[in-house]
Amino acid sequence: MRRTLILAAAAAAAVVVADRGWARAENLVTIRGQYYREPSTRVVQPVVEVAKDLPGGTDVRAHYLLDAITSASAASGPTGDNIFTEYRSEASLSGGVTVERTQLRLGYKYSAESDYWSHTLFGSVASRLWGDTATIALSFGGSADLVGRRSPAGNVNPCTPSITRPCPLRTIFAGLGYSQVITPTLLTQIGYETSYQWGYLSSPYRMENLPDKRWRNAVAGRAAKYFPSTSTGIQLHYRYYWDRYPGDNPDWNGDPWGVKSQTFETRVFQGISRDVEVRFTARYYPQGAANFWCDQADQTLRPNECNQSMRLVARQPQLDALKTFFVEGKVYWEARALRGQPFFGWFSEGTFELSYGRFYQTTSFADAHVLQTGYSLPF
Amino acid sequence: MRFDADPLEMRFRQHMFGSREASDLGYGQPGGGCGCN
Repeated sequence: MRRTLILAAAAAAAVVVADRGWARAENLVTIRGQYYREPSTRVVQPVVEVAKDLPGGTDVRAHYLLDAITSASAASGPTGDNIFTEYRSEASLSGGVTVERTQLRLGYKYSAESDYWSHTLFGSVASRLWGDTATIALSFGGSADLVGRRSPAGNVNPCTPSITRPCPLRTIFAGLGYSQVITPTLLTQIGYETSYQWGYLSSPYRMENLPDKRWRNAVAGRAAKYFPSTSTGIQLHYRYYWDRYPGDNPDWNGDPWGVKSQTFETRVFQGISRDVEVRFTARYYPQGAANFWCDQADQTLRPNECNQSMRLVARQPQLDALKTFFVEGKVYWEARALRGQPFFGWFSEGTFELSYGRFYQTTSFADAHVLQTGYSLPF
Repeated sequence: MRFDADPLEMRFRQHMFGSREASDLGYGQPGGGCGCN
């Protein structure tokens, strides 16, 4: 009942520790395997993360993951369907220091694959308020990416990427969140996030030309309630997103972006026994199209946009109006029952988790299976 | 703004949803490591 008890204990003590961005890193090593499968794409992702407390109120965290992506996307090659596998490595290192009621964290993340490289610096400052019943947190960062292309170009974008001459993409981002314990079993949170991107925003394989700047915003609210009598926890999440082009775009009359979306999510945690907890998640996501989106197959659907978008061309299904629905079931098992067992006893102090989700999409990506498994061991 | 208890799971979700929807903030899914090209 680890996750539910985290919330219950936190609320009971009137301390906002459900946000582990605040909590110091307990000494913990976690390994996970994540699998995503839709008709044209399969992703296998092993991950390992280590968190370690250090003297003087400091801690350090590091993770490494490997993405193995196998895709048969029709857009993956210049000649049509082309099954290929590529690998992406990602590593991060961050350090935190806590002084009285305030924690500062700074970190760096690097991601590399055959045609894309990304450097990210990130940080956060969080402070506890009102007798430790509230937390205010500011996060910030920036990334510098290089977008390449394996095969010969044929792109309509002003920057034509290649492996030897990739195109730059820059992002800066920030977020402000506030968490408040309302009652010993009710926790709430509100927040705002924003990012500003400029550079090569198109996909290098889709023969498209997206605007060169994008200002993105989101507000969110969350609430978590725990019912001790039934060992049940419920979380409700809502998020509203909008974006726009900063300034005037010479290729479009008005704002070419204008994507708006909402996210509704609920999670139910249920303790089954001392060692077992289950979680059910349901998430619904409706999204409107970008203003410059033109359906290439049926241009009569938005004729004004298609006429105007001759200089801005989008072929990513993500920029069309769409809906997604995600349901997932997850089981946590604290492996105390393995104590004293030959070999398996080594794992008795940790927690296993297993989940299966189904991701329904109205786009051409079609529906996906999502499987995750993991094991966390304190040390 | 992290209500999620598991940062690894949060990152995976951010990557998955960010590569199939248009409303992430652009820093959760570096690269084409999403099969979305």
